[in-house]
Amino acid sequence: MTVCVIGNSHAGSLLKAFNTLPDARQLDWAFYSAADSYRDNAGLNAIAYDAKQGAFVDFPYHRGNHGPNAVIGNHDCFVLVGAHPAPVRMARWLNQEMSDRFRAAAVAEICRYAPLDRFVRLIRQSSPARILLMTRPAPSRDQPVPGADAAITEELIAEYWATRDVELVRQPAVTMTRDGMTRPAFHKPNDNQHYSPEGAMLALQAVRVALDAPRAVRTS
Amino acid sequence: MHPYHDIPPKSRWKDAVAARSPFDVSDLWDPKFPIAQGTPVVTFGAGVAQQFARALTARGMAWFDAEPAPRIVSKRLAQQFGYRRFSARTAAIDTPSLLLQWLRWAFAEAAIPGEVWIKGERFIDPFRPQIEPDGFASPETVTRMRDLTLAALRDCVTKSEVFVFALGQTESWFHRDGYEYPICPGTAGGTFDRDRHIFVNQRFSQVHAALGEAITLMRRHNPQIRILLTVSPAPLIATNSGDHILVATTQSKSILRAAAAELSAAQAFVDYFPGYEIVSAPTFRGMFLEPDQQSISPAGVDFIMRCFFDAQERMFGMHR
Repeated sequence: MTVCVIGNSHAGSLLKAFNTLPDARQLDWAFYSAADSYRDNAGLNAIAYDAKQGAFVDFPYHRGNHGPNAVIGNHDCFVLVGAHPAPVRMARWLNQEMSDRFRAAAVAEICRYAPLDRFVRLIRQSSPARILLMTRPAPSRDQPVPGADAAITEELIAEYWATRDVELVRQPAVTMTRDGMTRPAFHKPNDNQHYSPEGAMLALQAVRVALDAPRAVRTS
Repeated sequence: MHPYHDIPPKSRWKDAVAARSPFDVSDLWDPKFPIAQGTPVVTFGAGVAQQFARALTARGMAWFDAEPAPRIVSKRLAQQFGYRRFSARTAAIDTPSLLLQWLRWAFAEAAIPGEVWIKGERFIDPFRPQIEPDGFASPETVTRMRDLTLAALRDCVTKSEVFVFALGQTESWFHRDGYEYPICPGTAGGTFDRDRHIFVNQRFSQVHAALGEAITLMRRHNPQIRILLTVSPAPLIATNSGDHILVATTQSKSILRAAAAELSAAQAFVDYFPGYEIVSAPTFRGMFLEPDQQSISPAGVDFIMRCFFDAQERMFGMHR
């Protein structure tokens, strides 16, 4: 099976973890990353899509056996990493009393605006490949929101992506506080956004566990 | 010499209307009080109040949204769920008696009926049946979410300086126990029951009394609040009066207009803005209506709001 990891700096964290903990199984991993949520300074999509090739092209960084372009048809599974707000952050944005349907619609809308959505859309145009999605890790220094809200939001994110035939890989519970924040030990020092090497290893482990599990049945 | 000798040009049909292009008709309103840039304004009433809110916001004025949606949510989605339409999620309030009912509930001056409508596995608030596209998860949520709106409405009265109310129509539906629905049960939820649901085409005395009581209630809780009334130019969608819709619309709007005039004439803190006249007067030849002759066109809304802001500037100088 070929696994294509596409992401921003968070994919870079996974790659470092991958280098430390190589896959014992015979999976063919390819990593493609671009900083700053795939956007250039003008806020445009820095990663172009070549419809003729069916490929995402011009990644600043790639690693693996498939060349510089992420050709969709070459891969059985995509792991999309980062460029999607963490559940706890979305819960914070939506931290007020509202109806269940409005909260679900708001979560879906935020997910749709995440830069990862473009990759999902383009992959799904030509491929039934499995897609796993990993959001940014939760921050560790934000004002916490009630843990129940973060859990509900994570559930709604998973439900939304399931409707797009995308499986959410959740942040490993061991890296998180009860409020849904990342424990400081699993964040880089002086960085409220990225995993520490230990955190990244646990995140990579979560991806591997998800790959080992049967593909989730599409919910709609 | 007689009193008409010295009237200003705006007071003479020939000068103010007949000799002018409709777009040059001006000085339609002499506002009683200023609405400055920082004056907190709330908007409620018929659908046209939403356009008022939009125009105020576009001008950078202090439209007070007492029940905001999260900022991250798009306007389209927020409005789909009844946010950012009026200053609280009351949905449209077409009659003064319904406004009075909301205000009495907000200030705990009347008991709130426990009626909730069921739609499949979801629950509808009979007093704003379309506020949530799919209804609420439970009857308790209906009540809880309405309580939030009532708290927001209280804030609107106690924290704002100007309460804009667009009067919509006189046709109304009541439960036989005396409370009012915003629309006929059965049309957008619930089930119509002719034994329980009573049609009332309100007369002048009823409209005038309810509007007067609503204003008195608001002034009791905020003695500084000023009321700006307007009549929605949008015609009735349908009438249950038995009259032709055109006749029913004219009757409805005439009664509302008269009640607004009566209250505005009686109190310095109540004013009337003639948005209705701008759209409905023959002078304007229906040009501000969409082809369905029901909705107000964007150009019409622009013209009405330009009249509003021009009048404010003429009377009180530039908005500050």
